[in-house]
Amino acid sequence: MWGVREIHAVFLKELRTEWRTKVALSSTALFAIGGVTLAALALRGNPPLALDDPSRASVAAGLLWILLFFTGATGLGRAFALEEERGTALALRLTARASAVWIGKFLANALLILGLAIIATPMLITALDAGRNVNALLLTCVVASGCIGIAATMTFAGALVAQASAKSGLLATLSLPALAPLFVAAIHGTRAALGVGTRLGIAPAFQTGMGDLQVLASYAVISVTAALMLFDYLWND
Amino acid sequence: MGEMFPLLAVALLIWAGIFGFIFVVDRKVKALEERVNRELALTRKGEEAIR
Amino acid sequence: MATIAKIVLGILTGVFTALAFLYLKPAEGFPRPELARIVALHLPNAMAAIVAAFVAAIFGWKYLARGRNPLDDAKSKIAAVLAAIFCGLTTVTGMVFAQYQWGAPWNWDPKQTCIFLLLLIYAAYFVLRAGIEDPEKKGATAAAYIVFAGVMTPLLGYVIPKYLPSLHPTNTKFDAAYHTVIWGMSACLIGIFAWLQNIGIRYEQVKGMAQQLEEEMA
Repeated sequence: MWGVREIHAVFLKELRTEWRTKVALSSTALFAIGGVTLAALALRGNPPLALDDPSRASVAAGLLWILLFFTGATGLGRAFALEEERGTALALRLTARASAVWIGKFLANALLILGLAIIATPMLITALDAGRNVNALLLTCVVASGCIGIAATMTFAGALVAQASAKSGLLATLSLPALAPLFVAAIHGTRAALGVGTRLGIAPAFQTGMGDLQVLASYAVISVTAALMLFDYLWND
Repeated sequence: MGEMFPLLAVALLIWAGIFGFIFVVDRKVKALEERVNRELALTRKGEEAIR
Repeated sequence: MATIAKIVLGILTGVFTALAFLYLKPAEGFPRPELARIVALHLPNAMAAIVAAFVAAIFGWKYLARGRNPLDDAKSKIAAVLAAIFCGLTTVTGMVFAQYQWGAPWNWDPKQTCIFLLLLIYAAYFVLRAGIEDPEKKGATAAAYIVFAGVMTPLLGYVIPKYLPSLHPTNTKFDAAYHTVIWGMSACLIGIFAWLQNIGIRYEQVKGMAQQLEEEMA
């Protein structure tokens, strides 16, 4: 009734295609690790920057989301671009409903970027030595909800970019303005999780971060809804 | 108040320029429309004559 | 539009410009009170930009959901061009104001940030259009983007003011003179928008007809 089977099938298909070549996985993972390396080289070279704890945390929060944004932009567009390249879009159109296709691909993309965030976030924070006052629970919540929003918007924008002839860079261009509200809240929430403007302990950090989590959650809901509605018209031509 | 008049004159001149420009573009599009319509009518007539 | 309407529009624009210079009192409380009159151009431009953005999104939706009429796509595209222009003018007039009243042309104030992101959306929209050749695909893809962006931008207006300190006055009470001039000027600029939109649509139509003619000749 709800098409859970179809969604499951599309999701599994996405994972299998990706696992066969591992192009998106390896390129995004290397991109993320390279980004962390660059950030560490830039900020921890000799003589080291004399930043206090809050400044380090703020820099780390900003860099984390810049990194996640560009990592997503390199990998999340493949889901639809591949279908167009291989000419398998038609077959997919015949076998699954539009909403199932979108949700399946969205879930696969969300899994990919969440996996990358799990690697990149602790790496970046330890590399910049920004985790002295970290609230790990809040950090996990903020990063996870932010990644879901990024996956939703970029999966939708990826479907648009797949139609264009020059694809490089277009995904970042299209999704940045739409993702701006998410990034503002996510960076603020990450800073709170890293102890900027909060006292130690779980409750104070959550007091600051709760508003950000609400914004991130509503962003995810709105972007998924809007994408599902519009994708229906786009896919069924 | 008096010192505003030169500035106002400049502003009105700029507006006149903008409106003039839009007006000219409007006329050009109109001329194009008329030309295309005329040619279209001619082709239709030609087609009928051939038939 | 009838020629008379255009002439009336021109005269009205002139009248409201004159009123802005002669009738408005300098705004007390600003470092350069006499220069604060630029709000009589700044706010109307912002209104015209919002109207144009709505028109672009509505015709985009119509194209996407109601039978792929190429004319709807053309309307959406032209409105997007005009929205970008009015956004640009709003930014420029705002920067002039900010330079003199707040000391710097750009302050990452919430409204400045929002309008900048709006400009980015239109830039991305045109890049997307340029990248797709098939007209139907181009129309549908661009329409989907502009509607998606249209859903996400109000969120921007709600979220960003929560995070960035604002320089824009929130408790301004414009006096009656300012109200008259700002609303009058808004009506004029929206009229100009309608006129330009009309010219643009006619041009797109005649271009399509000329193409058809050429194909018939060949």
